[in-house]
Amino acid sequence: MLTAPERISHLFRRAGFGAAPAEVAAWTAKGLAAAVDALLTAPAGPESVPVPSYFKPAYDPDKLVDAQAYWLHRMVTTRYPLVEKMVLFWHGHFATGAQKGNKPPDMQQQNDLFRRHAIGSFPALLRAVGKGAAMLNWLDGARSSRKAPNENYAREVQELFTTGPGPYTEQDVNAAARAFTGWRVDRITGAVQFEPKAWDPGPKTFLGHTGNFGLDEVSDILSSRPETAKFLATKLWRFFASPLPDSATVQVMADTYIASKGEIRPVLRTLFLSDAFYADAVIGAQIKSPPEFIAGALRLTGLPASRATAYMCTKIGQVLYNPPNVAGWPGGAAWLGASTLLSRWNLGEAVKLGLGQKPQPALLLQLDTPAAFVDGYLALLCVPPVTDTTRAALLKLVGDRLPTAPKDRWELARGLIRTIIATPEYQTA
Amino acid sequence: MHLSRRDFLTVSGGVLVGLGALGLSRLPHKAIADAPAGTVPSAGAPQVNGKSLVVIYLGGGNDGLNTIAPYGMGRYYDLRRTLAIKESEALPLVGKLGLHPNLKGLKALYDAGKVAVIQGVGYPEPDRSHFRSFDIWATAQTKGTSPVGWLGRYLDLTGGAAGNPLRAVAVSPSVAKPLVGGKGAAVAMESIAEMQIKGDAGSVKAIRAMYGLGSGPLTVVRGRGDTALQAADAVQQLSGGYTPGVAYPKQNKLGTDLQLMVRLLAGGAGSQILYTTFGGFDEHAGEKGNHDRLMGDFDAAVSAYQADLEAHGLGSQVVTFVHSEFGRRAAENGSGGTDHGAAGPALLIGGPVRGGLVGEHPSLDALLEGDLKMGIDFRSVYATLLDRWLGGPVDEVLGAKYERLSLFHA
Repeated sequence: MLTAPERISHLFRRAGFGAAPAEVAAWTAKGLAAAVDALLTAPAGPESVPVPSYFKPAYDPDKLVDAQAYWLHRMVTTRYPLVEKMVLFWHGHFATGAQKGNKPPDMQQQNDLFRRHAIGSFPALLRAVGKGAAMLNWLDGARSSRKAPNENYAREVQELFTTGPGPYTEQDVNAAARAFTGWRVDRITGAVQFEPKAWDPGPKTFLGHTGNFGLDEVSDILSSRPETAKFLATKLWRFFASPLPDSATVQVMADTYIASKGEIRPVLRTLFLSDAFYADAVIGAQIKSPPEFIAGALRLTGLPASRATAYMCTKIGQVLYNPPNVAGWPGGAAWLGASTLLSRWNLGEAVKLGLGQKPQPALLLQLDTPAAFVDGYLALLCVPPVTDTTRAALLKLVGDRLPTAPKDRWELARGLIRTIIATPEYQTA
Repeated sequence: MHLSRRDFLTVSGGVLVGLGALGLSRLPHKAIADAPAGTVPSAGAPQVNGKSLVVIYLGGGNDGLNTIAPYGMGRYYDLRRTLAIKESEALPLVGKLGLHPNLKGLKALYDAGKVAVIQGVGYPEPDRSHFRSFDIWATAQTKGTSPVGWLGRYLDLTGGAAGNPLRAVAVSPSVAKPLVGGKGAAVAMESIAEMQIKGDAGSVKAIRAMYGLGSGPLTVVRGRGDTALQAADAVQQLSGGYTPGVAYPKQNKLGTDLQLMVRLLAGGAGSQILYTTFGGFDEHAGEKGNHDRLMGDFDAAVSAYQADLEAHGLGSQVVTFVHSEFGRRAAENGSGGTDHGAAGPALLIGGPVRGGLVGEHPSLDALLEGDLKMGIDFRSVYATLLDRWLGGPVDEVLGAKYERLSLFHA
């Protein structure tokens, strides 16, 4: 059974990028429901986050690494952590790559689309993604023709983005491909245009419905399918809770999706207020994705995102804006290859160097005993409960007596932060 | 030397590599620089025969008809009005079949008798989903699925990674499905430079103490950490001084991955199975330029790697198997591309390979729902690789008996 602060920490590890001890204390006082409400509050438009001025050479929106660094910067600094978490979710869900004519600005535009609809209406998001330049380039809608409709998006939108395999046949793929014709992307400006002459206006029979469907109609049919409700609910459970779906909670989430006509916010509220989300088997059961891992460490140590951290994200196994394929990243234990895990451990060393030798008062905890010192830094980094093995190794690192001189104490603190980032527990959320 | 906060803000990707150059402590290791290349670290090692299999998976569904062009079939030009490779441009093999014009290095290897072109490879009742079809190839099961891949099952049945943590290496962020086994024998490694813990001795010691096989909720993470530590230690023990025998193409991911494999093998890693993915083949539109580029990149990478293997005396120990999850629709679509298809060619490359064409090119007049019909079950290829190359149980790995092909010199 979790204590109230442990529930809050867990919620913020999953629905955000971790919480500092003061935030945990404040939300514990206000209560879990208030914390969930706050997390589910999104700004009217995408949060305005200026590009950091510290990029040298200056930020270049046409460079992939700059776009990646800017996105990490958003994760590190956001006031709406759940929205940014959902932007990551949608990027993995509608896995689109900066290839096939997609340039970083196209990806940025899709990213803002995810942010605008992050916890809003799925039907609206699906329509918008389908007619966005990034998806039209990525799955070839922009090059489809009435005479020979391209099946790429028509297949993947069903298999991967909505119902999952099952309801549709090859005829449905073909009907959807015909409905999706007509959309063009200007190669220079990236502007999207609907050209009525390029669209197949004829009648189509799609998943049992017949009509002169276009992209919106087929998208809406897919959004309203019960399989889509189940598919998204399961995927959201896996993303936020654990690799093993709790079938009862997932069913309630799917029912909520249907009842709300595809609104994501009530589905997430159901999840974050469910008992299953706080079950023992769920705590610490998630492997952090590379951006979660990096953004959390930077956010809680006060370090900024940069090009360097964007490269680290790639080394740790996730190239933002370049999924391995249209199915996105497999996630879970697949993040923990040998070299990617070593890169995670080594991120701790980069953080230590980034913190510098000059003591930083906000990160220098005034605690009396080695045990309190270790616990203090575990809390500072919002680490899930640790095993005895890990605690023993950290205590051994700290030694029997805490140094008193600030410089020595800071050196010890940096080493401890460095090592905590490499603990098995810190790899999890 | 210390990096300042400002450095942290502005330095680029070199930062982690750079840490290694700071003279910080490294893994304790016994240098065995004097060990001859190609030796297998052996204490308790599985009984492997010194032969290595490299698998290159062409991700996305490679267009077989524009890799091995059947320019003698008139129907090819009806089906591929804009995409067909001209007879004058194809690099002729035999029987009016020719390689894509950018496969010049492969052609030279073919002419030297080192390439088997296995035609019409597929499986019954083809599935046109990338993911389902890849899973079928990965598990060697067309009905149902399995959490374990075919090479993973082979590793499980033959001693796993006992004695050699680098026995099976996936050059990727995570272990590819074909190598996933119950014993977790395969390691995923994208970079040799990353295979060490950076930091002061105290931190390194603490990190080592926290990982290892245990039980409880962190079993998976600790087990992966244990694998990573063993692999890192094994990498640190490789004999140093690898110098490439040839110039590799620049900005070529496949070339980088294959070179990493040669470094491992030349350093004495004794890796039996190595795996990489080369993606981008899902060419529903604008295939012409894209496929040309991919073929060129593939050719440059494989040519350099094969020459490098031979330069390091590994030419008779390594064969390379190249396949995709399916071929593409015989007819091009209206976007200058091709949609998901069925059977396609696979390649086997290397000194021990019996070069030439294997099987028949699928007929373009007898398509199945617009796709090429399979002539050779991919599991026959697997069975041959297991039986005639890797050695070990075949039927147990594949779950059934499959015909063997003639892919190797006797």
